[in-house]
Amino acid sequence: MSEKTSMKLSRRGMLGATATGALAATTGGAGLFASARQAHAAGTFNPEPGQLDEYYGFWSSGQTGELRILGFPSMRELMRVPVFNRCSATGWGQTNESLKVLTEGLTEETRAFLAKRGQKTYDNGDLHHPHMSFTDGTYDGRYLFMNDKANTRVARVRCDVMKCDKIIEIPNASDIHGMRPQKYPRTGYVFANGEHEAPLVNDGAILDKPEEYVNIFSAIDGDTMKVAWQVIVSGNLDNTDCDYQGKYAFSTSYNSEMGMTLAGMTEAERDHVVVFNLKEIEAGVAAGDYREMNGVPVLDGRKGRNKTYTRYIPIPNSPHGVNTAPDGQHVVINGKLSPTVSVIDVTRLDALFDSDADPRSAVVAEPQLGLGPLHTAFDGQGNAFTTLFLDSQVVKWNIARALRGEDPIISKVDVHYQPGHNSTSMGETKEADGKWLISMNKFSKDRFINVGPLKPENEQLIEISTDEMKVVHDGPTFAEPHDSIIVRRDIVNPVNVWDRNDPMWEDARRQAEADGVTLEDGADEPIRDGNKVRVYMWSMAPTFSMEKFTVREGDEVTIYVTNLDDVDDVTHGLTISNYGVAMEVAPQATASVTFTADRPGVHWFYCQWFCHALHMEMRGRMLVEPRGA
Amino acid sequence: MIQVSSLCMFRRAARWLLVTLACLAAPLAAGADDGSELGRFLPELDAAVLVPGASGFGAMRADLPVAPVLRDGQTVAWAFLTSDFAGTTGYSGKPIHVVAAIDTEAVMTGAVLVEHSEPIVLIGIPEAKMRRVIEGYAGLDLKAEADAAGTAHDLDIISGATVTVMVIDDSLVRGGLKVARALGLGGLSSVAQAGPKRTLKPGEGTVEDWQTLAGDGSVRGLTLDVGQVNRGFEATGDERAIARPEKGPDDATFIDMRAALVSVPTIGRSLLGANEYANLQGWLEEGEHAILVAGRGRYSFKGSGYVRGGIFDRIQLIQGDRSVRFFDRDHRRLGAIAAEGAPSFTELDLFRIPADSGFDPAAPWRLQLLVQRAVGAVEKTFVTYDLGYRLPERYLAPLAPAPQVNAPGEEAAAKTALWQRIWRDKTPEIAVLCVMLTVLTGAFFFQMQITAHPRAYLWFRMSFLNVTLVFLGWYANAQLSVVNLMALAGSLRTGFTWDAFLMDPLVFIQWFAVAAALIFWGRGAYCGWLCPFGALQELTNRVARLLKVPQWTLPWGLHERLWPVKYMIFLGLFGVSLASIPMAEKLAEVEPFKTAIILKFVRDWPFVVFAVTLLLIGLFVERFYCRYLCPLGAALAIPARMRMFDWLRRYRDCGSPCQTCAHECPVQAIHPTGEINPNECVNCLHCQVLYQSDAKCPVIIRQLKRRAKDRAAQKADAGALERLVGQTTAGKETH
Repeated sequence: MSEKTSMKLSRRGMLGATATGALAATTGGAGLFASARQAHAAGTFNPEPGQLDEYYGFWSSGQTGELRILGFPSMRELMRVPVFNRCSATGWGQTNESLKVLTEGLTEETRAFLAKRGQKTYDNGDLHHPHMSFTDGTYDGRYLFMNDKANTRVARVRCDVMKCDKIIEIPNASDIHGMRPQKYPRTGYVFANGEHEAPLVNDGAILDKPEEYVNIFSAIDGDTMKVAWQVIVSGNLDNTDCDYQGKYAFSTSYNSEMGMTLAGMTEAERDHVVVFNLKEIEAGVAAGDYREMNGVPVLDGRKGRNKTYTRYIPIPNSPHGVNTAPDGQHVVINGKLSPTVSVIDVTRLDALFDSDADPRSAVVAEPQLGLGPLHTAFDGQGNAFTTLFLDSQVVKWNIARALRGEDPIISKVDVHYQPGHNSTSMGETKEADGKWLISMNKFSKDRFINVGPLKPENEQLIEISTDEMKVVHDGPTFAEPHDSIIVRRDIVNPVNVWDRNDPMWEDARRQAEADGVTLEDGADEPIRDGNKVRVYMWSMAPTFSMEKFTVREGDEVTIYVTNLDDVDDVTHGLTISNYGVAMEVAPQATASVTFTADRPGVHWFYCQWFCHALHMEMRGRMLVEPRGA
Repeated sequence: MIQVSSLCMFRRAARWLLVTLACLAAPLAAGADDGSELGRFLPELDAAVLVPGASGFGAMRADLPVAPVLRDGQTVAWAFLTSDFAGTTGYSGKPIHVVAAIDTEAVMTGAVLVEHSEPIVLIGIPEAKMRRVIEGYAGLDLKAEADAAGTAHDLDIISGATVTVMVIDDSLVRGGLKVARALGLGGLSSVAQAGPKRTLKPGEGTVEDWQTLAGDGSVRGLTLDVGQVNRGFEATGDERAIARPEKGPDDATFIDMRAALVSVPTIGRSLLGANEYANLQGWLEEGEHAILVAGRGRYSFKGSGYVRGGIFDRIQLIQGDRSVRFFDRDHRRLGAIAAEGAPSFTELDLFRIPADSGFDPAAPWRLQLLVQRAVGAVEKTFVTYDLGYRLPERYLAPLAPAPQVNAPGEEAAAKTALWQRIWRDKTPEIAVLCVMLTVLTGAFFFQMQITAHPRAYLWFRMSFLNVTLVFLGWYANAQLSVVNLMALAGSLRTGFTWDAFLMDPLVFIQWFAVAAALIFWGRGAYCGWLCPFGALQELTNRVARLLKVPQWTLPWGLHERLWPVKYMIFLGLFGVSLASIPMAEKLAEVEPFKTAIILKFVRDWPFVVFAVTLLLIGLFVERFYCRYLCPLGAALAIPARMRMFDWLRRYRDCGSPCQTCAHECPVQAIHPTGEINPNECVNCLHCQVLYQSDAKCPVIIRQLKRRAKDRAAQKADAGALERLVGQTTAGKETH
């Protein structure tokens, strides 16, 4: 705080002003000041019907567990990609293809744990941070990576089909929060922070002994989705980012105290940001300086271990967000409980490792911005935008001015209310274009017509091309987007129909081959294999290849549906009424679902994605013979 | 992001915890003393912190949660806990407990923070700073606060802790007043209400359009433009605020804010529409009220900062010495104003006034708008503006006749105590005024003597006028106004009490003197001698004359026809005041008194231009304003003819043929026919100077001439006689 945080406010002075105000007091003469608020110039953020958005917005959904795709800046929600959640519409979490993705990356221990409660996988997740793969410091349109804080997982979505293809559970770590892909030379690594403190082997042998708890920083190979290595650190880990040189990653820690209570966590005046030296860690792995745990090399980067894997830079008071500027040189650490941000110069980091320079020597500016700075985004022109949670504002400030020790604040704008993350268009790449800012506000309060005690979040679109930031659009969202990225549309290039050779249904392809069936042709009758029955169908609007099939009560039935429609946007579905079964089959895709035919009788199956004028007629019967009949 | 959530969760959890604790604590506290918490803090408190030299606390009173502070065994002050008397819920959702002590003169002797849960430390404000602010309340005079509705002191704002500081300030002042009143300290009494208690008219009301509601004062407004706000910050003298002016043209609307008491059926039904009004009624419990606040322009009366503490920090409702700050749970939005013809607003919000706030819907209140300006990363400065509101008479139940007769003696005593204290406080001013009145009375009684020497009289009059202008006007602000008369008329209609008029001694004495003077001399005693603006006009005109500014004499015919203008203005104002006193008060701005005397020209330019224009005209046409425009003068002139005496002396020749006085009369109050028009005369006594002037008055001149002639004749006669007898004498002498 500055020394001048208090000032005298003369109530008498106020009264002087009051008199002036009272003068202008009117009894409310109607129409005197009736200047209708001018509508914002159309076409900028609100495209005409049929016009395309300039950007893709990839949105997290927090505890909903899915990834959302928005047209940006119109904020039109285009798609929901189920990831950690169970999706009623698409059958994600029920189809064999999705269950494979959801289960193959789980540890044996977790699978056993879930089996005890009759589950194959978790059906909840807490998806905080979606980030795209990079090549040479900018988005490359290959993958999106995202974390699950609830169940310690990291997932990958393929950008060609916009479906999740890999989910892995991160062993040894607890509750993945911050997550970012390597920016340079390419992704490469996906860095993931274990936020909550826990024993390294969390089997109950150590319980209420916080001094033995650790936090784990993980580097995942983004191509193979295997954990490459992990580093044990001192203090907990919050958010993470990395540099544009491929040398360092950074993680903030708000609980350097390793406190277990709110008071304990906020006790120290300073916490820290951990700097990870990637080359040194890789060398350490190569040299065998690790303990292998659950198949992962775990290195010790804690304070006082005399290692060159990590350095700890003290940062005032419970820092939260960490954001690398597009200039490739500066990293902004957001102070949260301190009204400051700390600017780190990456070119000064080598000295921390080479010559044990004072860690604080890497901090080249620490300007005050306002109360509760959480996250910072950039315009690529030397300016930064920091959310001020407590002030419910976004502050625009200039990095160069901060470096010179001047007051860097350019302007502030009220947001509604209490912003967390923010993102600028292409802002976390070296191609930041400085057009738009989204402020992801944690509360909407009174901002919309009331929908009851549970209210939407409010994502506000802010035009940032001038010094005065202008809020131009309120975007309500359901629980609870934390983070987003805004990607130029020319970078993302998905397909319209699936490739028949896609690996997504490789298991189905193999099984059909074993059964002597071609998926595209289907089988006329169910194929019986003991009490296992496999039904191969194709669909083409408005028919399924089978009008009926018969199974016996108690059979384990697998239905494979291949959508032969080669037409954009003709997705079919298969829903079996009163059987709790439903799935999506996109054009040229195969999807399958397995269930036990426990309910005898006539059960209609039908297409639930509208496909044709005779969509209602696109149905058939599953006849289940009672056992013993 | 979990930290962000957890911060809020913390806040929510804290509130929840508070509720839980309160529930747990309730039975315990109830056993002690009606939920008072003072007893919890006293044992650990050093009495010397509250009163220097104090040795301890006495037993808590049974009737009130206060404890005597003892020094040498004597009660020197009373200690109380703010939370026992006023809401102290802060930013954390938990109370901020402060113990303060008040001495017998109702002066706060000390205040100390005893417990709080404000997360100020979390946002980087050292607790010591908060403690210093609270300790700064030692010396706060609650008598002054009672007079000034709790705004007589300076408020120390700690940046980033606005809500915390405001809650502490409010609880100390409000709680302190409650304690002082309850204990009768410093002459304060628990009854502060002047006049009989009014109530709302029962019934469902009617549905009106916007024009009607805006016109009759059901909806009232405050409009500020960018220039006004920038000037407001300039007036604070805060360099950092001045360096960051609001951008944009001066006349751009900064905020156009309206307020209405929508819990009044006609207002609520009209503005909200039937369904939303029903929703409002469902929302309000017995005894609760609600206001609608509408706004547009570049400044929001809500802002976004209120969400963090859940307290709206830009507006508060003030009524008397009570203030109501709105919490988010007392707030809901309105989609549109239902009343036909309503303009559009960008913000429409309903705020609930809790029943325990003591809000009286029938009494006037003001909505105070806090205009913030960031002057650094975390620092802000503020200026405030008031939107005044008074529920129109039509919504009030008619008064029962003479209820004040039955007023309890205690209440009357309290009011008496209050005005007596004010009179005591103003003794020096009253003394000076009495001397002035005595001198003036003497001057009138001995007018012939005092006007005998023109030069001396001129000095006397100019000196008197200077005292009137500087002391009565600019220093004491004791300028009578037609508004006083409208207030009197209003109070005669609604139940007259002396107390309201006794509150301002100088004005009261002057009116008393005016009433007396009307019987003896007419309006002139006031207009010509005691009116500061009149004095200002005459003095400026006097200077103009010295500088040889030409004086225009209006043709008699025009002059005579301009006289009635002031009567029309007065009657117009009087008529409006019958319908709406606030409206009439606004129109009474035709009196430049407020601008020229009370505000000393520090005011918005249109007002200053108006006053200065009148003074400029006055340079050419002496007392132009008094002659043709002044509604107060008109009001005083109406009964002028009932005066009992004609003191101003005239000769038979005055008017025919002599016109000297008529020409020299500074206000042209002398008819060409010679009589002095008592309605226009300002009793400057100039004609009395002329009456005795041996240089100007033809009668005197003639008289003198005649005397001279007589004397000459006498002399001649005497000479002749002398010549007759002289010789003998001469002869004798020569002898």
